[in-house]
Amino acid sequence: MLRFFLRRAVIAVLVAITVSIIGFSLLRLSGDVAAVLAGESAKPEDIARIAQAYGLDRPLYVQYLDWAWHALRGDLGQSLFTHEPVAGLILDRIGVTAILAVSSLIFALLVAVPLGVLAALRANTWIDRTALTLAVFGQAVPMFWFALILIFVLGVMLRWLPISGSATPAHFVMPTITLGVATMPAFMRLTRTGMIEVMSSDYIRTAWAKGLRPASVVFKHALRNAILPVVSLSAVSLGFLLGGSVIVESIFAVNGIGLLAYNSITRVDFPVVQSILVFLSFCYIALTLVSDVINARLDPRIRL
Amino acid sequence: MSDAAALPELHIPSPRELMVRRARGHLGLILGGAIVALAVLVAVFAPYLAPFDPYDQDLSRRLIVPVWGAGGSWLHALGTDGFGRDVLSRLIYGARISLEIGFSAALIAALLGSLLGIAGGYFGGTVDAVVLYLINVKLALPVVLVALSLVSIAGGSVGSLILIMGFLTWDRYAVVTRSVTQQLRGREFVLAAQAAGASHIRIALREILPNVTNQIIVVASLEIATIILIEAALSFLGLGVRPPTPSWGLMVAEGRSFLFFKPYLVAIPGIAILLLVVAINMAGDGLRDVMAPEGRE
Repeated sequence: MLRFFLRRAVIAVLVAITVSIIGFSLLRLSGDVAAVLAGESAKPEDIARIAQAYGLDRPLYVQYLDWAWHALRGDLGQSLFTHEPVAGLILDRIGVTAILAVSSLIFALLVAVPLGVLAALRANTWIDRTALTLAVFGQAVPMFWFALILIFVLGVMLRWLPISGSATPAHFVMPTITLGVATMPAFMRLTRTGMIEVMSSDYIRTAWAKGLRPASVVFKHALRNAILPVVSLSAVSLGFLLGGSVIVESIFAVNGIGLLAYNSITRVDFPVVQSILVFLSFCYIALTLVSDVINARLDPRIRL
Repeated sequence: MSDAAALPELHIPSPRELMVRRARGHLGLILGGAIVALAVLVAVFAPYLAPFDPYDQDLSRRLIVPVWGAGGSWLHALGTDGFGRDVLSRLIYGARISLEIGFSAALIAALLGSLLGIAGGYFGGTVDAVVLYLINVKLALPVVLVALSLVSIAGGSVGSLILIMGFLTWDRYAVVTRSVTQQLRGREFVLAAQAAGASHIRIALREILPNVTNQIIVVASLEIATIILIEAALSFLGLGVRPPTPSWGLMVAEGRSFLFFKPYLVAIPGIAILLLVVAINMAGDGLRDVMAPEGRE
């Protein structure tokens, strides 16, 4: 177990370093940061002076190492736009984004798992087909469009929910539904396939033969095994949800890191964008690592 | 074995025949494929089909409702937008943007991903470790955020969107071709080619590639749908195709300010995206059942 974990951890660290290099160089190579800092009417001398002051005239790898060294100690630099420390900007907003991601995940699981179980138990009936059709549409509906439809129906026509902001729990309902619907199909299909497979296995036949109650067979014996891949997908999806919140947060004006990322991109605020990019990647890497370890704990065959 | 002589008409279907037979009975593939084919035709013949110039603004004809609304007419069957442009014509030209970006980016991604996947699966060892590592790095990057940043840097031309999307969606091809190649590596026909002294490139192209093509096509058909959705989202956020290009995502964004009074401006392009993506997914699922049935979930 320890060896398995260490091997995965080493890979995770390597990937994390690479991602941080990509995140750093992507935005550094893209344009002249000093020119952006100096403003549009700046003379070449001014740009050169600013480049020197910020250390932007040094070789790129020196800049990277310097940035990484500071980042490791929690100093992600300053926003070019608000001049606040980037770490603070992210920390202030990560809670909102995390709440949104977790609530979307819970919403998706609450709908997808029962639906998947039902579809599997009634495979090839109208229930199954309805569930699969829902999954097809959930996968295909553009998130931003679905959000606008929700705003129109629930916010404008019925006036049930606030359409913008993140002040109260009610503000999170529509963003949660939007993100949840997008993540649901994968969970539904995975639960369904897993259940169909497990329900036809020998030990479930034995459980039936022992005369156990149907509920006990389905939930205690079958679902516990069929749910394994769903657990690991949950961890990975959480990473996706953190990143996918850019679209939803900017539509509903939810004040999380997705909105911060979007605003920073439109303001060409490199330090913020690159920090969020690397931060989200790290979250994803950590969550995949956790999911691998959970899986290996739950299923000893993987450890080999 | 003597029975074979007694049944001279006994016909063992070839894999290709089996495929055609499966395709004929597959409702999703036929329906989805038909809609996709229709969309492609519309995109190709857009100049002949569109009743108006999609860029033509006429402020005296702003916000005309579609034909089913009060005061609508067949002249502007789907109404006009806030600049007085014909929505139907923009929708028809918009199919071009979605499909062009979807297919071209998928092609780039397929080439890149398959190259890496086949190399990793065929050589194994260090090469495979590098490929796996690259896949992991790719998976760790938040696609929408990276795409947004890159578009803001490179500008929202169709060409740059194709390149960006191509470089952000190659991972699944690599995963699939890698695992298929691993299974093929030890098969007789590959070993025979090696024994006959064929070069690695020749083996990859002549022996491996034909056997992974089906899987590549299946992945591509599903990835095209993803790319179309991401392009629409980027354009909606104002960091994709530039106005006044008639991208469907951009049309939703432009209709957004009229959401309360003219919801059709948001509804129509959204339904177009939804329909096209559902059709592509149906066709893609169908292709998987028909071409690579062992890859079914």
